[in-house]
Amino acid sequence: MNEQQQESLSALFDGEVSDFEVRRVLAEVDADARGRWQRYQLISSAVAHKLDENLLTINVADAVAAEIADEPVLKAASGSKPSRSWLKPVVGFAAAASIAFVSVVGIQTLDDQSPVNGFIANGNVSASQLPIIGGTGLNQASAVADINLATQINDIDAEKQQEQARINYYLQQHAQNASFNNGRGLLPMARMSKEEY
Amino acid sequence: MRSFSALFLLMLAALSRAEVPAQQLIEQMAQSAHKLDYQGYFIYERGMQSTSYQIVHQVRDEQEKQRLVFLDGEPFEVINDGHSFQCIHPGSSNVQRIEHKGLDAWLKLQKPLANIWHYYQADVLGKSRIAGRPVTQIQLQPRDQHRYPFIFYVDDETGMMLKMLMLDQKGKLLERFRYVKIDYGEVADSALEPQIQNYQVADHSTETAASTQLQAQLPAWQLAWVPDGFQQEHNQMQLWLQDEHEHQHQALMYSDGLSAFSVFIEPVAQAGQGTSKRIGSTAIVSQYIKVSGQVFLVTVIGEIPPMTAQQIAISVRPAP
Repeated sequence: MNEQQQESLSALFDGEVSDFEVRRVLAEVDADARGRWQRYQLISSAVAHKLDENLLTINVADAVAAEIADEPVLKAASGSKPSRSWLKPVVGFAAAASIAFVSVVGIQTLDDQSPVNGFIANGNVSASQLPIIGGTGLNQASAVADINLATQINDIDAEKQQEQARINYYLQQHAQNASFNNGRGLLPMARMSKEEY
Repeated sequence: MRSFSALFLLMLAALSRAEVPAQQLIEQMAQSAHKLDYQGYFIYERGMQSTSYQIVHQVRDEQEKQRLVFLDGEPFEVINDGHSFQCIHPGSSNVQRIEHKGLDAWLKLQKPLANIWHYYQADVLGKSRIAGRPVTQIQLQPRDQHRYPFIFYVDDETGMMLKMLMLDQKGKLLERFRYVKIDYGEVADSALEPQIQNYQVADHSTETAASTQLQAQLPAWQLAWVPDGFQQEHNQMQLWLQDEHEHQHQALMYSDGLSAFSVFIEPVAQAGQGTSKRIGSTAIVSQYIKVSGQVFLVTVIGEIPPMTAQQIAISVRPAP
């Protein structure tokens, strides 16, 4: 990144640039810088209490797929040398009727009220240029939701059920992993609890 | 000027000495939970949620056995018999048995936590009393933004953790474990028997065979980025069943000694909408990626900030 881009990016971070300039700067800088900017946006939203516990929805499928297709395969991060132990199968069960741990599938709240997200959404930045999170992704998600709402309403129960079962199974697996690796015994298993108030 | 530097160095030395007892207490705490026999009751709270549990822990010949009873809502117990976890609820064939390598796990638990001091700063905050027992309050402040701060209340006599707070980076409480009663001393074998009647353990050997055949069709995955200090603990193909449907996936599990996260990659029919949520201290982030025409759902679950979970989710790559 050259000095001018660096300056533009700083201005962008400080919220000192116009709608037009945001598009120009984002088009110029590299993916790394765009990523940083998006994370900054997310942090800003979080600080302004716009990002709450259940509030964020991302839709990055195509963007990340495109990114992966274009990218050379990276080496594994240090400390995680590829292990072949995955060859041993493990069977787990997540019967729908079993333990519903936490209700994580439900209302997807979209936060597109933030002015920053708003003007980016109206801009010309495509989803593939914003692979992580941004106004575009959120806006697109809400558009998709609108269009599909009528057609999907019948399938939604079955889909939700499956998504819930999957998340429950994953949560259980994770809790078991955590209870082995954090020096606190079975305590993390308590996180599998169904919500009781 | 020189005396000023000397003073500064002295202060630094004093500070680091103050940190040592806090670190030792945490290291001792990590061992105590696995070395002592105890029975107790604790409460787990996150957000508006509050649930209570009974826990029984026994050690015989370096073999740990545990039983966790969910006291609220639907009857549910988790039993760790040293070889496997059994998740038990009422009704026949409704038991989930998950094998684990008992000895491996035990050895892993003996692994010193020394490494964590690169990633957390430990400080003694003071003395207090939990579940009727005197405790020392210790704060663990992460040195980067990829993990949450903890506050532990450690039993002065036994070194057991009797209360734990997990906070976000701004100091907001995310979740709380706290014992209300704990008894130390030898635990009888009978205390490890499930109270739930009428259950049976299903035999999953056939499913295991089936999943072996399916393996080859799936690519293996790796993470191009994990936060410093997180080590891979597991990497295996797994299968979960729902209404006769097999869901084969790869599970990658990481821990820094205190915090843990897991990554699941599962082939799905079509891409949907990714999610990013936080429940208590647990981030749940999912997204879809497409490789060679096949869509995969990537889900990251862990007691880490959602931002970090997202960074991990986008670093999933097919293994070379």
